[in-house]
Amino acid sequence: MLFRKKKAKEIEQAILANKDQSYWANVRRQFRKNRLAVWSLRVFWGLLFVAIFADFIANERPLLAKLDGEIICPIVKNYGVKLGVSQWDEKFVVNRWNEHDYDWAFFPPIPYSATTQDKYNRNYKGPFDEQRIKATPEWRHWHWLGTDNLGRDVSAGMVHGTRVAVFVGVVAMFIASIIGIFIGALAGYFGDDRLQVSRIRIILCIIGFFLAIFYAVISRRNAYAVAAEDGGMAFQILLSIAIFIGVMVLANLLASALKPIKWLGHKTTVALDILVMRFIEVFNSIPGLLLILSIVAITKPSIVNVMIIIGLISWTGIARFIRAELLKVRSLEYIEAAQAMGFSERRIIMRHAIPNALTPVLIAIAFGVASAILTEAFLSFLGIGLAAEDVTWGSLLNLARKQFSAWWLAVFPGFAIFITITIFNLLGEGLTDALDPRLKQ
Amino acid sequence: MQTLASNYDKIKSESTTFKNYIPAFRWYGFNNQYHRWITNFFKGDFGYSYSDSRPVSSKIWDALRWTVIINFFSILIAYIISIPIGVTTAVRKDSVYDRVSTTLLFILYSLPSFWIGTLLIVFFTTPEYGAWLDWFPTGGVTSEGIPDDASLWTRFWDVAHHLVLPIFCVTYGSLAYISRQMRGGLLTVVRQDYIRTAKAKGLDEKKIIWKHAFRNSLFPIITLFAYIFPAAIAGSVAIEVIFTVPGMGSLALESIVARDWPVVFTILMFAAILTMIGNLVADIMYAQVDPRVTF
Repeated sequence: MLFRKKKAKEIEQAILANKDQSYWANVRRQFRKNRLAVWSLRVFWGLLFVAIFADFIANERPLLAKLDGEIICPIVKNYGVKLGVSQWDEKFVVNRWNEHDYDWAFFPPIPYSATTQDKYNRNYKGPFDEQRIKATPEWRHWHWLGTDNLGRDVSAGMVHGTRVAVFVGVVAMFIASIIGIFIGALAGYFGDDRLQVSRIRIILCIIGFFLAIFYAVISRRNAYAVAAEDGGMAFQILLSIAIFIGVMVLANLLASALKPIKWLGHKTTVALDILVMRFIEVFNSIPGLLLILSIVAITKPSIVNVMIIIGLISWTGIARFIRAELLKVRSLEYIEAAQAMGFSERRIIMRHAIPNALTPVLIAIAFGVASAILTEAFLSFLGIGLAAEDVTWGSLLNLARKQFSAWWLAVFPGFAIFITITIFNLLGEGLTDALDPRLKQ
Repeated sequence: MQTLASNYDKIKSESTTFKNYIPAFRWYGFNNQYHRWITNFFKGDFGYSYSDSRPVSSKIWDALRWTVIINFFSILIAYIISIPIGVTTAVRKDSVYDRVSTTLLFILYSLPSFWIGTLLIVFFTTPEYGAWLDWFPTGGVTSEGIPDDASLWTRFWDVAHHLVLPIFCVTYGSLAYISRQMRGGLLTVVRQDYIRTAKAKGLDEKKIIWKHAFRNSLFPIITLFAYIFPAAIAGSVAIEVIFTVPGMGSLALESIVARDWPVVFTILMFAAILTMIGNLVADIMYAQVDPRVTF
């Protein structure tokens, strides 16, 4: 009796454990076995939380306060002011936030913004140095990670640096994934033999390419010169890309219209894979760091520009991965079935081929985020691509080179960079193990 | 004044801005900017620096010396240390030694070199944290106090003393990376059937590892060779800037910031050429290690 019960329990557990045998369930199980990777994921959620709510964690404004019989929430209001839908009263512009006579006020855990200059604690005050704190209670306003030369709180800078780092990783890899998946999928799916293009389309694409470069870049030189001085480079680049795509679409529409003419409509094979792979090799032969440095140095300093440029440079790895995967996938039966059913190429690639090739891309993205964050930290460490008012981990670390006695500037920001890089590397390793079918039990 | 304004209006009304949007395709043959530049480049004439009018070649030659010294020693040390580590960890897989060193290597690999460089220069180059921590000179490659007629030996020690920290910083990252690659490569080889066969017929363990497994696991190490040459130029930007070594990295950064394009173009071109040479060397070495590879 007892044994039977135990047996039943075992079977029940086995059923529960095997409930989901899909690929992703398997991957998730494998991933959970890797304790380091699971912890990295938790730390990542923590970083993401800090990045999103940075304004509510470190801010000179109170979270919620009662002033002159009115309950105010200045941090939220600040978003409105930045968007231009709201305005500050005069008293808030004239006086500092900690100098108002609040009835009551809740301040964030770190009562300083990244740019708040504490005039009593200028010139590198360490955590254990003598700090002149005017506000009470003193421990709330103590600079626990020290200050820099302007009296800016290092812990507040680190919190806002987290935001920069995480957003750089996410935005850069988002851009890189879109470009990489698009180009890699085309190269992999069509290979060297499957892309049949009419003559007129080839001719018009080549002409259109030069025209597109002319209208997108050459004829807009003035706009770029203005943007380099006044900002808005990101917008100009996006506009250029839009014009480029527009001209290419026009050329293709024209090609479709001219196709019925017999000689022009004759189909020839384009070895797309070779073209793309040689392009990637040429692209990769230029050292990425020097290329990024050169581009960042001539654009207006702004973190958004840095994110976009890192994204535009680092798509080749993803493209190679997805190409290799699609070269395998494209000869599978279900793709053949889809072709036999007469689905359009676009539908087959988007709906059937790419979703089955995304796994190695995930790994590439995890490692790519790490290297994007590292690159940004490195650029701001060199003081390149960084507006004067921006505070990032790299810029804080850079200050340590100017003042050797300020050990807190050398230790804390660098440690934050190290931890972030490590968790993304660990996540990449964990994913590699989890996605590798050879290790499946 | 009146005429100026009216002239301006006249010019403006007669202007044909639409012409800006009509592309002019013209064929210049070989007589264009790029062809002139590339011909001069292959003739060895890299132009003159905008910032100090020195020939680019002499600037690059001065800088290249230090970068080559640093990278030569760091690559040498990295390979000498990492190959035995990689092999021993793979042979004794899952032992305590393997786990500890794999973890340590992973941490080393994730440590950003510009952070370590900053820490080292902050803590070990000045008496700021106690005179007993003032071990190394703060940046530069030579001391100023050395007289011109100093013996070669004194000069050598002076330079070596200056280069310890930069070489360390460049080395540890590649050391970790190469060891991990070596371990991974050997682990996949050890699983193969012919290794089991060698074991089954009672071959000496050392012989199996070094003669049969090691040679076949060199593939990932060789691919690294393709990256070593360009890394010699671009890879040590951070370290050279932190330790104020006047090498290629600092030169590249300086010229990029100063928009000294002749220098920047030459360095980028060299880096690209070196990458291709690296790829070629790697391909040739593939064929050397594995006779099955043909081209």
